[in-house]
Amino acid sequence: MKKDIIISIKYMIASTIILGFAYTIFITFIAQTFFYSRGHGSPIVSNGVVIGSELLAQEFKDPKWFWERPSATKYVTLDDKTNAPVPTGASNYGAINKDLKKEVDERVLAISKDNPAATITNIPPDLLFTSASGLDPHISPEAAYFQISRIAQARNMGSEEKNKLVEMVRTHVEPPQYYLFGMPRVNVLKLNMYLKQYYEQHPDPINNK
Amino acid sequence: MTQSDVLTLITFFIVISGGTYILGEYMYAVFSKNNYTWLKIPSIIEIKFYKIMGINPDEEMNYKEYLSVLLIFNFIGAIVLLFILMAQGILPFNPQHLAGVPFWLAFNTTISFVTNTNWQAYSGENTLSYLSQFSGLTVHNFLSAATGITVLLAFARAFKTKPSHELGNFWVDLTKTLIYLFLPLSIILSIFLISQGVVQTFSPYITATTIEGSKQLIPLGPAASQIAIKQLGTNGGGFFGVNSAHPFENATPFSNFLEMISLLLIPAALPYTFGRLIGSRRQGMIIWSAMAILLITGLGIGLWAEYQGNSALSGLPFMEGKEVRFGITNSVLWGVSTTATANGSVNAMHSSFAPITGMIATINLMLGEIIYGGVGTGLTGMLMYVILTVFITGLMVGRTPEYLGKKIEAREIKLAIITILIPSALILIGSMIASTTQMGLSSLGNKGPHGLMEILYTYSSCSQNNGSAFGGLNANTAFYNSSLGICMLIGRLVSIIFPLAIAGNLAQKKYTPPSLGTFPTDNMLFVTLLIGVILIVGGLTFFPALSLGSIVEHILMQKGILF
Repeated sequence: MKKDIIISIKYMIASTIILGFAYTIFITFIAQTFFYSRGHGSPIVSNGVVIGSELLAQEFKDPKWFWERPSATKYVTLDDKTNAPVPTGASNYGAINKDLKKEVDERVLAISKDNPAATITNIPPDLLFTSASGLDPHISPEAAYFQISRIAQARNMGSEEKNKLVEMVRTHVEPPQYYLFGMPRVNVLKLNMYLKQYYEQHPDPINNK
Repeated sequence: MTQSDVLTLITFFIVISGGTYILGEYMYAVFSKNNYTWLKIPSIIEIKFYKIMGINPDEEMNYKEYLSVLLIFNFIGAIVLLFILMAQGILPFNPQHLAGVPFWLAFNTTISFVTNTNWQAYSGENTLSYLSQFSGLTVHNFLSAATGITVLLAFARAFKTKPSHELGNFWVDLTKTLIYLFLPLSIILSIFLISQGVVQTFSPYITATTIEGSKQLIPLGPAASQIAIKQLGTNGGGFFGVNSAHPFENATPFSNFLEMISLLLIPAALPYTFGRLIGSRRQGMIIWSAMAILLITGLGIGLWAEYQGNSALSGLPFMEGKEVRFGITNSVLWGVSTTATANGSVNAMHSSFAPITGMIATINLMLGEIIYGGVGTGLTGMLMYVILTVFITGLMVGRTPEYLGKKIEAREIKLAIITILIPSALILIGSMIASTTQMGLSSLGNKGPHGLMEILYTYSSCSQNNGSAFGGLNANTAFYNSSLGICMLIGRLVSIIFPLAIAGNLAQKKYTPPSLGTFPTDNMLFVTLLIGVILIVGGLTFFPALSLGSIVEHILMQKGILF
C-alpha cells in the first residue's frame, strides 16, 4: 500500500513532466518551426495590423460586404464598453423551438429588405441558421452568389462590375478537400479582403464608395 | 448527400477496417509477451523508466492488487488536478490572467477528466489557463485513456488456459500503453492537425481590428497537442468551449476526417487485439462485427432523419448548429461515432440535430458506449453483454454457459448485470430528480419534450462517461456540478471494479476445451443473439423515457407544433 502510494506520486510527477510539459513543448516547437502562422491562429495582417483570422468569421453589417453566417455569440466581438469577450457557443435550439422559428423569420425579413424576391425557401439555408461555433468562416457558394445583388446595389455597380463580382466569388469557391472531404465553400473574410484590395487598386471616381 | 459525402463515408469505413488490422496487430505485438526485435530499442527506455519509478515489471498482481493500485494512482492524480485548477490564478502560463476555478466546478472538472468523461461545464478559452490545460487536462487525457486499456488487458488475461490469480502488472500495462500507443500516435496526429490550422502556441490571445473596425478576440493556446490525445483516448474534452466545431480546434474538412478516424481507430482495433491475446482472432472479430452492425444501423437512421429536413420550418435542412465546411453528412457521422465510442467531442451541436438523430446519439450513450466504446472500457462493457448473452442462450438450450473455455456461473452473471444496470439506474434516477425539481428545471435551454431530452442526454453522457452535451442545458450550477460529478464517478468505478472482479474470478477457473455441449460464440448466430440482448435490455430500460422525449418531438415536428 505504502509502496503503491510512493510509486503513484512518482508516476504522477513523471507523467506531468513528460506528457504535460515535454510533449506540449515539443509539439509547440514543431509548430513554431514549420507552421508558424497556422500555429498562431492563421492571422491576416494588413499594414502591420491583425485584422482577423483566416479561420474565424468576423462581423459584417455593412451591405457593401459579403456577410457571414449568423452567429449565436456575436463572433466573439469585444463589447464596446466592457471590452469583455463573448465566449463561443451555439444556440442549441431543438427542432421545434419557438425561438428558432422566430429568429429564422427575423433573418428572412432582414434579408428581404435588400432583396425583395427573397423568401424562406429561396434564401440559401446557411444564411438563416447559426453555426455550431458561432465562428464559421465559410458560407456556401450559393450563399455568396445570393449576396451579389445586394452588394452591387450598395456599391452602385454597373452590370459589368457585377460580373466581375460573380467572377470573384467563382474563384473563391473551395471544392471539397482532396475531392473527398467536406462541402464546397467560400471563405468570407478572404473574399472580402480581395474585394477591398480590388477596389483600393481600381479606384472608380463614380462608383467607388 | 453529395458525391464527396459518399466518398467520405466509404473512405471512413475502409480506413477503420484497415486500421483495425494494422493497429490491432501492432497492439498485440506490444502487449503480448513476445519479444520482437523491432521493440528492442524502445524497450530499453521502458526498462530504464521502471527502474527510476521503482517498479518491478515482473511482479504479477491478482485482481485486488491490480484494482487497488489503479484506484490509488487515479485518486492521487485527481488531487493533483484539483489543486492545479483551483490554484491556476497564482501559477505560471496564465497570459490571460484567469482566476482560479471555483470549487464545485473544479470538483466536477477533476472527476470528469480523471474518469475519461471529459464533461465540461465551462468554456476553455475564458476559464482555464494554459497551465491547467496542458499540465493538468492533457496529462489526464493520457492517463485516463491508458487506465481504460489496462482494465481490458487484465480482463483478457482471465482467459489464460492455466488457472491462476494473476492478471498482469498495472504499471507495466499503463506504461506500455502510454509509450507505445498514445504518445507516438498523439505526436503524429498533432503535427497533422497543426498543418491544417489547429493552433499550438504559448502566446497570449490576439485582439484583431476587423475590416468594419470593431475588435475581435482571437483565442490561442497549446491546443493541437491536447486535441490529438483528446480524440485518440476517447476523452473528448475540447480545448475551446464549442469543442471540435471551433475552427481552431478543427480547421478543415481533412482535419475533421483525421479527428473522426482517431476517435474510432483504437476502440475498433481493440476487439482484434483482444482476439489475438486470447488466441482466437475470430472471437475478437465477431464482437467487432456486432459493433459494426450497430454503428452502421445507427448511422443510417441518423442520416435518414437528418436529410428529411425540418418539417416544422418549411422543410429547411438542419443547418442550425452545423458548420458549412463539414456539412450534414460529416456532422451526423461524427455525432454517431462520438456517442458510440465514449469520446464525446462534437463538431456540430447535438441538441440541434433532427429529433430522431438526437435520439440515436442518446441511445448510443444509454447502451453504455459499447459500440466500439471507450478505449478499453467499451470492449469490457461489451463483454458484459457477451456474458449475459452466453447466460441467456445457455438457459434456452439447457447447457452450462461457457465463454472462451471458462464456465460462466452465478457470480459472473450477477456482476455483469450489476455493471450494466447501475449506470442505467443513475441515468433514470438522476433524470427523474432533475426533471421534477426546480434546481434541475431552471437550467433548461429548450422547453417541452426537447427539455426532457436535454436532461436525459446529460445524465446518460455523464453516467456512461461520454462527456458530450445537449448544450442548451446550463450545467454549471451547484446541483448539476455535484450530481453529475457523482454520476461520472460511480459510472466509472462500476465499469472498472466489476469487470476486474469478474476477471479475477474467471482467471482461477479451469479451462475446458470446447466440446459438443459448448454453445459456439464465434458465428453470426451469436452476433444476432448478442445484438438482440443489447437492444432488448436497452429498449426495456429506456424506451418509455425516449418515447416522451425524441419520439414525441418528432411527431410534433411533423405536425408543425412548436414549443
